[in-house]
Amino acid sequence: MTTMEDDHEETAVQCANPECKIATGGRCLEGFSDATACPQYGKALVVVASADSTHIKAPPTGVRLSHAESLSLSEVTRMVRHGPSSVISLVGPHDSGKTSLIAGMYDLLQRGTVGGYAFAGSSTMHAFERACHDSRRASQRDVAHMERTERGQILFFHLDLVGAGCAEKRAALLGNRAGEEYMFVQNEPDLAKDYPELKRSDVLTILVDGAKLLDAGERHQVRAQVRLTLRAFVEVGVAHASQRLAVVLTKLDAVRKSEAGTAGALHYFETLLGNLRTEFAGHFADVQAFSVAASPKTIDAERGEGMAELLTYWMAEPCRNAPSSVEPMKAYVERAFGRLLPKATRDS
Amino acid sequence: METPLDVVVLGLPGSGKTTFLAALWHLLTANEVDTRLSLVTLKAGESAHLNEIASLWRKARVQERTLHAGDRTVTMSLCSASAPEFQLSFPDLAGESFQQMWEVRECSPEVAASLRSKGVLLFIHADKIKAPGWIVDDAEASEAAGLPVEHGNPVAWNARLAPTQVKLVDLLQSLESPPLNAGPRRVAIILSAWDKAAGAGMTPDEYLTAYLPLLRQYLTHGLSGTWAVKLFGVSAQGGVYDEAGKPAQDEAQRIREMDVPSKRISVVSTEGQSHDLTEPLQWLLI
Repeated sequence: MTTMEDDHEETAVQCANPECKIATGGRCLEGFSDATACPQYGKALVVVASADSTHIKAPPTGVRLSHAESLSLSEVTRMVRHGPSSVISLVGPHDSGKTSLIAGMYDLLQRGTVGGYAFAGSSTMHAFERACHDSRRASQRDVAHMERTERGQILFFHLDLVGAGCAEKRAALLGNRAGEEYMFVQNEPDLAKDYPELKRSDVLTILVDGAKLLDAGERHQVRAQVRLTLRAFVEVGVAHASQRLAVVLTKLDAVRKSEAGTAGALHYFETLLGNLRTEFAGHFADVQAFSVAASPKTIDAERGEGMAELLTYWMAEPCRNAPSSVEPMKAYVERAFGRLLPKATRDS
Repeated sequence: METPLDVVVLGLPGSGKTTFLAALWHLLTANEVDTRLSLVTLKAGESAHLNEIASLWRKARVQERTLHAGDRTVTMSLCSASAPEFQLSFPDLAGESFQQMWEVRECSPEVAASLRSKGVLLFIHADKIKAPGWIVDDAEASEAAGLPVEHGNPVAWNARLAPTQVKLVDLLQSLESPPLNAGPRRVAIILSAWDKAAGAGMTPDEYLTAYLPLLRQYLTHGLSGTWAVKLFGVSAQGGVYDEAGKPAQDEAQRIREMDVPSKRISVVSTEGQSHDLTEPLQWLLI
C-alpha cells in the first residue's frame, strides 16, 4: 500500500558504507531486501575515520542476529499483534523536525527516564544511533545536523517503554516518512489512503516548524500546510475519532533565539492551535499542543525541553477499541449436545 | 558424576575478562585466602593458557589482548561446601566477537553455542565507559568558558561509535531473542577496574545508574522477569600494572611487593567486600 516514488535514474550502484558489497553484486549490508530503501544506498562512498585502530576481521558465515535498523510496515504489523503498543505518526514537511524528535527522544533516554517512562528495549538501535549521530560529539560537527529522511516507504523506530508504577512494557512505534510525501496529500488527498500508518495511528503528531513562524512570509504557508494536510486526512477518512492529535511546535531554541520574533511566533502558534481546535476537535478524541527543543542547535533551549510531556501524551492508553473478553454462553443442558462437557471438567 | 556448569564470559574489547581469569586461576591454585569455590584438580582445559596469564598477573604485567583467533574455552573442576564437584566451562571469547555482533549482526556458530549458556558473566570496564556526548552541550560549555568552538572534519556514522551502554543493551537483547535465547538466565555484571571507580564513593548499583543509565533502565524494566541480575565491583589487579615496552610503574612495584598476591583482589557486592573472585561464580550456581 505504500508508494515508492523514485524519479532518479541510477547510473551506477553505489553505497556510502565502505563495507557494503552491493556495488559488486552482493547484498545490502544493512539487511534491506529492497536496497533502495537503505539510507546509505545511492550515496557516494564515505571513508569513515576508524574510532579504533583494531581491525575487525570479516566474520565467518555464521549465525545471523536480528537487524537493528528501522522496521518495515510488515514488521510493525507483527509487533502490534504481539503486545501493547502506541503507533505514532509524525507528520510535517521536510526539515520540520520529525527525525530530530525521534532521535531526541532516544537520546534523552540515554540520560535516564523521560516523563516517568523507562527504557525497556529497542529493536531499532542502529537506526536510532544513525539518526542521533550528527547531533553527537562523535560526528565532529560544529553544529548539530539531521539527515534528511529518504523518500520511499514508511519506516518505524521502536522503543519499549515502561511507565512509572507499571510492570508491563508498551511499544512506541514512531513512523517516519519523508515530509514531501505528506505534503503531496494537499494536492491529492486520496494519496493519504496509501499511507497505512495514518489510519493505524493512536496519536497523529503534526509538526509546526518554529523557525518558519519567525518569518512573516513563511508563517502563513506553515498554517496553510497544517490545515490542508489535516483536512485531507479527515476528508479521506484516515483521521478518526479514536485518535489523539498532538500539535507540536518544534525548534523552540530557534524561536527563543530571535528576540524580536519570539513573542510573535508563539502568539501565531497559539492562534493556529485555536483555529485547529475549532476546525478539527470534533474529528479527534483530543487535541493538545506541545513546544519542544528535541535537538537544539543553540543554547536558547534545554536539550529535550518539552519532550517529557509529549512522550506522556504519546504513551497514554490508546483511545481505540480494545479487545475484551466475552462471557462464555451457557449451553442449553436440556439438549443432549449441551450435556457434553470437556473431559477435564467432567473428571474434576 | 560431574555436573557441568556453563558460564559464558561477555564483554567488549578491553573490559577485563582475561585479567579476571588470570586472577581467578591464581586464587584457586594459591589457596591464600578463603574462597567460596575450590579447585578439585589442577587438570584444566587450556591449563597452559591459564598458567601463562596467571604468571603475568603475579608479575603485575598487563595481559595481552585476547585476539579474535584466540577464542578459547577454559574448563575447571570446582566444588563448594554445598555443591559436589562440577565442571565449570568458561569460554574466554575475544571482545571483538561481541563488537562484531553489534556492528555486523552476526556471530560464528561456536560463539552462538557459547552464548546459550545459562550463566553469564558480563564485564564492563568501569573506567572506560564511552558516554554519549552532544554538540550543543559542548557549545554551551565553550560559550561559558569564553572559548571558541573547535572545528573538526565531520565523520560519517559507524556502529562502532555508539556509546558503551547502547552496545551492552543490544548484547543483552540479543541473548533474549532468537537465535540466541535460552530461557531463564543468571547474569553477574562485573564492573571491572573497580579500584578506579571506588573513589566516587558509590556502590556498584549507584555507579551503574550514574554512568550507564540506559543499561540500568533496561536491566530493571527490559529484561525478562525470569532472569536474575547481580552487580559486582571487581578489582582483579588491585591497581596499575606494567605494560610491555613502557616504563615500569611505581604502583605495579607496590603491588608486586604485597606478601599475599590474592589480597590484590577486591570484590564488592551487596554482601560486602572480599578477596573472593569466586563469589560471582558461586552466585551463578544458585
